[in-house]
Amino acid sequence: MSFFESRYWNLLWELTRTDFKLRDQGTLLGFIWTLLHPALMFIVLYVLFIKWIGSFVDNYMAFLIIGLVQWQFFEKATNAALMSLRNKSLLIRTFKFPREIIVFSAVGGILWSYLLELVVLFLFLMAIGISPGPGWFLIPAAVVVHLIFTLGISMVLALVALEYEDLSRIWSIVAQAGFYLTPIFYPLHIIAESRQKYMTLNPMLHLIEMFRSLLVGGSPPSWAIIVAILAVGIALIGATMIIFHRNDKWIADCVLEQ
Amino acid sequence: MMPKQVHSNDLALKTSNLGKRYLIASQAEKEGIFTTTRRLLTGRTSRKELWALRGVTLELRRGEILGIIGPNGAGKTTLVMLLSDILGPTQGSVEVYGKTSQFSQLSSGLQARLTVIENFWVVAALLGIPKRQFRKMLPEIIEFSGLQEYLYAKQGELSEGLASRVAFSVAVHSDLDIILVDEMLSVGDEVFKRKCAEVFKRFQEDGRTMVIVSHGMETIQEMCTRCLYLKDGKPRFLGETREATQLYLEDIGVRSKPTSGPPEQDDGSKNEGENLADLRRALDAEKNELREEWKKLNAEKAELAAGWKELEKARKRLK
Repeated sequence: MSFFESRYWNLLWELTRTDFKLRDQGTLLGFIWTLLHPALMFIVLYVLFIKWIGSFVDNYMAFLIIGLVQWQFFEKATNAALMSLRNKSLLIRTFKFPREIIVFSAVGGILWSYLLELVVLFLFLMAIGISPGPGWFLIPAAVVVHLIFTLGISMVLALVALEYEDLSRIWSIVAQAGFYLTPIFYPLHIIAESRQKYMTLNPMLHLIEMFRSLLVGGSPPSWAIIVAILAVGIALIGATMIIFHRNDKWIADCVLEQ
Repeated sequence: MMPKQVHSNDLALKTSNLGKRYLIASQAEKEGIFTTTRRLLTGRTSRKELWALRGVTLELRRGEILGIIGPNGAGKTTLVMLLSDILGPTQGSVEVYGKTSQFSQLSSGLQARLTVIENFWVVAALLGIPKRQFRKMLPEIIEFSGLQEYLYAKQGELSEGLASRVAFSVAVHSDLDIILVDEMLSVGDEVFKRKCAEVFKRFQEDGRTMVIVSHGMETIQEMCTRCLYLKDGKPRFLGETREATQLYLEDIGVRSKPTSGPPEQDDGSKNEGENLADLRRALDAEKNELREEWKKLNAEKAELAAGWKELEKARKRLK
């Protein structure tokens, strides 16, 4: 049973579509929420911080919305993945298929709306007068790096959450803290120099900086660090996939016990 | 684990001394941070062992239809989940030669908020049927399911009986070699049941294998070539369907009338002596069971007494 068989790609596609479709169903605005949520978040932060932080950064609007879109993909995807195995317990106890597909499709459902957000982001940037530069062509590669890193973290979380349900509570606090500790609505250089080196330990900082430099220019991130993040992502996915395969019965047991 | 593909052999599946143990919470203690840490560090747990299934040895040839009967909690569903390779055995082994999947009432709740037609596609993907192939099969599957009128209704809006047809209809049209049906025909109406019976007959001719779990003795008697009667996780009887169902009905205190069997069965073939022997066997079995239960209760009593002592100690300390 290998994930790389074509029939499992088909399954991944079906489940991803299902996840995406079901997420906003039942709400009045439905699909529009996918885009409305980051937009509203942007407006709130922009109004709150333009006066204070706007003077530190050129084009604060672009700076803020790029960071926000990237962060929200990470946060939403990890949250969706965290409880995905338990939420799909019915499928696990009824059908036999590589269990990691459930986590992949949970992240995949979020990826869809993220890609839509990116399209809107491009339009928005052009509307506020930023012309597409050569860096824009590298965005697909940047998205792949971000996706792989996020997927790696998601797989680990899903696995740990099987045994410890508490993780979902803990993770929502970690994510909240992460939002404030990552330079999303403020630039890194307003932090005291001595603390900056601690902040640069945060991989999300580098990913967001990468998108910012590709889209609007500015100091490029250290590519060595980006490669390192990519490597960590690949290693995590590889390791967790092996764990998933060797322990597929254990996963079913965990899901049954709840 | 990939089911082994053996085509020359006519064996469909084989289990030997199959057993599955669960750890279930005992009432006295809730799983919390303290107990979890202790379990991880020392392996000690207050959860008690429950052998849902034990010592099941059976061989099934291609084209056979095996019935599984028994009271609730006898281990029927656990056995099906072991056969479909979803759970791993605690003891013994399962070998399945071919593609298999199980279908239960549970699958009626697949994706309640998707439409019926969307659910057909999801099930197809879960069973690994390629899209192009499924598109061709779909009209026939819908026809079989009898859900033409409900295709765009939400899955959750269907009645249980109708909803459970979705996964099952796809299953019988797929290329599964062994189909495990867990208590699902009982919610089907007569028309659907008749369709199923026809399909099962065709399966048998094709050399496909089925395992049917049911409380419906008529269904079992009509369809199954052999029957396994499970009781308290142990196989009580494996063999002729009629005998198995009769034994089960006797065990639960329903004396089956001699006329309830299929007409070809000669009722005179069983003389009084055999009937008495049957009865004695049943009584012996019951006696053994009661004895075991007595032992279990005694053990529990001892445990409770120990617990009580500890409580008393704790109370004294508190004072």
